[in-house]
Amino acid sequence: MWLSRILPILIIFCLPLCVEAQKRLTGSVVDADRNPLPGAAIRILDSQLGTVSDADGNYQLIGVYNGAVIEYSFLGMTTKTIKYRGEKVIDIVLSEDETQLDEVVVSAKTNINEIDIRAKSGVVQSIDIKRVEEKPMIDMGLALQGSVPGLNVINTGELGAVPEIRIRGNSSLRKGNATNEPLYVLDGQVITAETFYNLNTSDIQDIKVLKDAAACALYGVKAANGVLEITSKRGYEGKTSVNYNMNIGVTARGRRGIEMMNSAEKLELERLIQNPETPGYRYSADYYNRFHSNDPNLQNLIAQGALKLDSMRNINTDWFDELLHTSLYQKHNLSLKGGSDATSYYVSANYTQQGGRIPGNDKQRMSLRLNLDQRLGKIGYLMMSVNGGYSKTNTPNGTTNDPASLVYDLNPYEQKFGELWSNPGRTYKDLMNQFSEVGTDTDAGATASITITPVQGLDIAAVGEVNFMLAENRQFTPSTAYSETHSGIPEEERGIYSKSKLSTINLSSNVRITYSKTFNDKHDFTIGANTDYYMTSSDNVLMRGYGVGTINSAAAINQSLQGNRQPYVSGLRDKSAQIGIGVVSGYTYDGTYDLFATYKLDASSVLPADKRWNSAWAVGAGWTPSQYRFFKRQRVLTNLNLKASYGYMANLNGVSISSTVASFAYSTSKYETQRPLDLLALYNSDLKPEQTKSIDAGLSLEFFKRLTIDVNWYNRTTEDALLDVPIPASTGFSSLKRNIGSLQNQGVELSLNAKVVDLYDWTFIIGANMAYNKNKVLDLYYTDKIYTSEESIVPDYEVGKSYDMLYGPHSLGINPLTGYPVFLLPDGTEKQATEALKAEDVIALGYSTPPYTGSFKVTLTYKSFDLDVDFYYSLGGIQRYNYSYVRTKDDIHKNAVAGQTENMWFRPGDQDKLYPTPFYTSTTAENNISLYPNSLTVGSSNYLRLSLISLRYRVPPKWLAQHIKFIKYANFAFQASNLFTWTKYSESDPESGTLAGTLQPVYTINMSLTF
Amino acid sequence: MKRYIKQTICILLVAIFCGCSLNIPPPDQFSDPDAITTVSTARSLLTSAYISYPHYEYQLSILGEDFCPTNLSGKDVSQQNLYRWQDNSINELAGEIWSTYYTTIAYCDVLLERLPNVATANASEESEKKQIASETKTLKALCYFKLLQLFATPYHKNINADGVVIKKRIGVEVVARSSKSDCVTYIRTLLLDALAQSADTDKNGWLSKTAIYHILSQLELYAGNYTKAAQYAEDVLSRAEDAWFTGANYRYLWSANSYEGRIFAFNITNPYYTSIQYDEPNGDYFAVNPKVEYAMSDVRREYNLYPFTMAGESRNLFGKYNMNNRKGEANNYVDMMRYAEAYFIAAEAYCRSGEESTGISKINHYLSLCGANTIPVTLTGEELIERIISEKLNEFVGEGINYLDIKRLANNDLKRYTAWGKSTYTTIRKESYKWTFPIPASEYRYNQAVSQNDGWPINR
Repeated sequence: MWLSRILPILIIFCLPLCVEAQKRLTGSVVDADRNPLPGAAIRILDSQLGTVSDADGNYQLIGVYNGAVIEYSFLGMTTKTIKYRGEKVIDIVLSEDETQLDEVVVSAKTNINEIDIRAKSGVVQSIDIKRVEEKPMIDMGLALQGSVPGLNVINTGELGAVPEIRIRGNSSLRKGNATNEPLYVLDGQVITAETFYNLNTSDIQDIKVLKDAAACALYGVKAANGVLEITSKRGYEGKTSVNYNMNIGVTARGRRGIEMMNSAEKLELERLIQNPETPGYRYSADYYNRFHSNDPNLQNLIAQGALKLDSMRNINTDWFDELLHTSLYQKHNLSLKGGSDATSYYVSANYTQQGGRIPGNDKQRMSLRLNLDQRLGKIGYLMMSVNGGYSKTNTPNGTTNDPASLVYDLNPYEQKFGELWSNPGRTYKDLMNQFSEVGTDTDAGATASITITPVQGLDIAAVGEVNFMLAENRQFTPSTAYSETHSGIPEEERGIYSKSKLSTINLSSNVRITYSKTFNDKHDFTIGANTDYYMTSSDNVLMRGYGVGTINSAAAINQSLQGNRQPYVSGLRDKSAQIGIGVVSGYTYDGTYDLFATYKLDASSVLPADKRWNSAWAVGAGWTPSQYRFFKRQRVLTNLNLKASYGYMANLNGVSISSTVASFAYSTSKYETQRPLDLLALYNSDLKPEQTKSIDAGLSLEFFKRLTIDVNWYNRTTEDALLDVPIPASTGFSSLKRNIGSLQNQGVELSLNAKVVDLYDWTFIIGANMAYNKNKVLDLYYTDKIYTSEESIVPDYEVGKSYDMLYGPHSLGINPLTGYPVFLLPDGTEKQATEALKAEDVIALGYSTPPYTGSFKVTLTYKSFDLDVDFYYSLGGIQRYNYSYVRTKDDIHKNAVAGQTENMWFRPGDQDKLYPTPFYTSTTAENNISLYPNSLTVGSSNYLRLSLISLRYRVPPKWLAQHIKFIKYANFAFQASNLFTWTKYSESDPESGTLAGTLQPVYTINMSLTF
Repeated sequence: MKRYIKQTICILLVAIFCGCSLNIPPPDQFSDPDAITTVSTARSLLTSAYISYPHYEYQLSILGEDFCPTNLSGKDVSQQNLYRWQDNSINELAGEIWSTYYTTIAYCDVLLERLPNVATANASEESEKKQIASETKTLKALCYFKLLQLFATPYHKNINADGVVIKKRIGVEVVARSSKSDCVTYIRTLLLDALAQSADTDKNGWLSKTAIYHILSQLELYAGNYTKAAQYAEDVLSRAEDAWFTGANYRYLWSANSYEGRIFAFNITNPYYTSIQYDEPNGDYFAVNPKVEYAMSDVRREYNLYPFTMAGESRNLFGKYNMNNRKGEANNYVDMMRYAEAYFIAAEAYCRSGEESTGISKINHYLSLCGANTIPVTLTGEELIERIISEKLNEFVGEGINYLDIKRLANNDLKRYTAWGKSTYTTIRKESYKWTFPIPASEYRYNQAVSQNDGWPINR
């Protein structure tokens, strides 16, 4: 233990430092007036490496190496060449005057936490932000889907729902975002997940995905789930340039998924199921013959019933069309940038609005940003940023009758007027406007950093930041809602209003010292140290009141109400802090051998004083054989790089002080004249942070300077994994947070990029990536299996098994005699569903989280046209069918799936049926069907989605100069996101598995003008 | 060495961040070791324990002879299934009862563990601290006693058979069920301890000395120590006044205010006994069993029954709390211990210990105060006991007491009726395993030492 802590420190201090073998260069290309030059060509001479600057004149060149000669060219401008000496950023000015001298501006403006030596042996990948920006989607998180292998983004429901973002799977046995989400860092400032989702993509220069311990260790205890490092755009030296970028378009309904019955089929099914509460049976001859057989008017009744049914058959309301709608999407972005040689600025304002497919569900967002940079003499510079944002999400969902579920509930013979058979006693009006919820996020942040380079090679940087986030949620049930008018509530008490406010303040400061030195042009050393402090404070207030009538406001709450409708107020405050100190060191020999080590010591206020300190460390090595002279003689394999790292980190996400020490808080109830003091949770004083160990190995290949292949393998083991484990009910509690076992995430990530055509007018690039992740429970300390619910016959966690596997029996289909399924047991025998299932009867049906995900990308440019097409896919997972739309006798008054009549078992002898009997005859069988999935009630969730099409036309600057002088650059594009999904999954959304949620297609026209 | 490095780092960090301490107490929480150190915080924690006490009086009444179905019973299948003693329904109820009573026990244990650290400044605080200790122990004993009655077989059938799990400390422990006799001894010890520290209380919601005598009398009756039971019941009755049982005074038992005629009642703020109501205009899921009858002169008649027209006839729906709900009046107290019960306990205990005439006169004293018909002095033996139990049902209808009595006696089969009690739907044999609640999966799945009751499945 002692050695394990000291060893990495020794390694660090014994190691010299490095320079990259394969570097990434960013910068901008501007004209003499500092206006951006979009479409400028940037190439490394004597190689096939090159790129083109984007609409803002920015470029990114990957694969540049020391000594490379880079050529910058733009039609009508002087071509410039410079020799690359390891700069991170090169801004270039091209002029029309052929006699002007080359001018290279080198600046070191960057995110201060970013230390490039990490990338030599750690896994740091950049997101192609241009493609993210091209996607017309309001949610930044979802737009990242498919951008980098191993960054897994899953949509969880309706518009505005929080997505699931993971880097290389769940590192904890605990499910959910709080414990598995990566750390978000914007310009060195730790931001909340909500702030991240609402960032304006146009303000972002770059997002780096830090996946392994070598890359993340510097962030210490917060970064066990990986880090997303975001760098915002900054100003530059030159004349002010103004850019206006706009998208306007429509959002569509998305995938229908399940076809529901038409009126004729529905009425016939009702007749067969014989529930007198449905018209199909109530007006049928069957009903009259049975209940009115002695009525002298029998034939007349039957004839009248037939007439009634005929008229109902003629109504065919498509509730999918009626309840879901197309809506609008718009985005406006205005930015200014410019500056002098000492001061530069970037200012932007953004407004985005997206309408959802469900009426009443939409999201809008506004943001502002000001980035200011000031050079401090010759030795340093100061960077300041102020940003603010506001987003608002409306949703009508939150009650049992949300419009998305009504699509499946309302009958085709029902209309928007008249009483509904599907909702007895109600009309369509009683289902609409029953509830509304508004969520708003307001955030503001300020960052200031100062970097000083007193002697060459020594950087001292300090950053301080504050981030404020206010999340508000308002829920309103009007007094006219059915639930209020029909549950015996006196009129003056009707109407519910509730409001919650959660304000979060993040404070952080970070000081970093880095020294780099090169000896004899061969030995590159870097050594550094950093300290950081993070403080998070949150304050949550909730109030709820009644009797508001139809006024959606707290002011309307009736304060005089007593009993269970009296006004309610509650609050909870929380505060935690963390201090860390770390060292980092790297060495590179001749661009060929890289060594890297880092060590971080963190202390958290959440843990008891004697267990506060936790360490994180990582070591890594890289080897680039393609740097050998003999290697350079051949032209086939133009780059070869291998790297490996090993690291160790602690994870404390989701642990609060009440988990470790008995904590009490006053509750809102009362007893006699006393206020009760509640114990918040059963505490575990032995609680330790989770310990994550990861090994990574990577291989980069480049053939003919055109085809690049990157392969990464990783194995991440989490020990002392925390879980809220069920405990005997006699403890008085149902669960206890415990260090319960160890788990493993293992995977491979592959990416491939090929420049198929690279001509003056034509470029055609294809890219593909794939990530595979497999997880397994390695050990459980107190037992060999854990059941988290009492009904489960299969443990949720079992040693040697994956922890996101769905288990259930193998079904042979519906038994023609009983109408319930027959299961084939693993031993080859059969079991009727009417018998109780046991643990040994089930098999693994498949993974609930798809193990394979990835994307395909195509880029085609021809003269002034750019075409980008992206596909995203997910393979190997299954989802359990909802099946709520298959009706039984109890719920046949609601609409059913088309084909149910044919596929349902009704009487003994019915062969080859898909759905079991609608008549409840066996409790055991009904439990076996409802509690556990079986091989016939799950479906493969594989899908391929066309996630982006962007076709852009850049108006030639020369034409603009002649015809519209005040516009420097203009381009127009058609941009669309999530256009189509191909899947065999028969419900609406293979991704979220819910009937309500599916990513809606958005089609827009884009215009970008630079003045 | 390690410590030295850490100290150096700490000093450095303090220098750098001057004032960035990691000792951050939660702003609106109290954490150990300073959380429960005064009598007022101790009383607040005890208050939480009182509030956490679960109320299953309605469900136990459904299981007992208190009610019969109505024409609306089928509208709530889960209540109907419970009335019919379906395994699933009993299993579900058992799971809830087991965990909620143990939650209250856990609260009591958390408080008892911290009570020695509570500082007192003067004599009144010292006596308040003693009173808190007494109430906590009594509440804990009450929970264990309820669990024992429900989850163990009747006491007289092998006293060494499994009782319930007696917790030794807060948190996870793998403990087997103690025997029934050990459980009774444990509960008795708790109560006697509590008695030594107890004082009288001013509000119905706090457990008083009388309450302790009352539980002791119930416990001794349960354990078959009839002399003791009668003695404790007399202790209770020595504090009662006849006037509380006569005339209109009976109604105060169902009123929203604290009343001296109650021994102990839980103070509640949430709606109580609302599940019996189907809706306001149409009636209830259950009506009072036609077996429950009152003489016209009986003062209890007006409050225990609620005449209501259902299915075209006037029916006797349940009164008491249900009547308050139907009249829009608040239920602020759940009567847990009433002086009337002491008469019944004393009567049964005297009869069983051979003093039948004392027993009869005891019960007849109470019945005549109420204006009810008295028990004939000629009754003897089992017949007499049956009559006392049936009178007890009249008194405590809907309060969940009858089920525990018939289970304790284990003398008779139990009939389940069709609507309005017109015919028998099914009969629960007195030997049936269903009389003893199953140990829920939430216990046996995670506590390997615990055993299941006969007849119930165990799926570990």
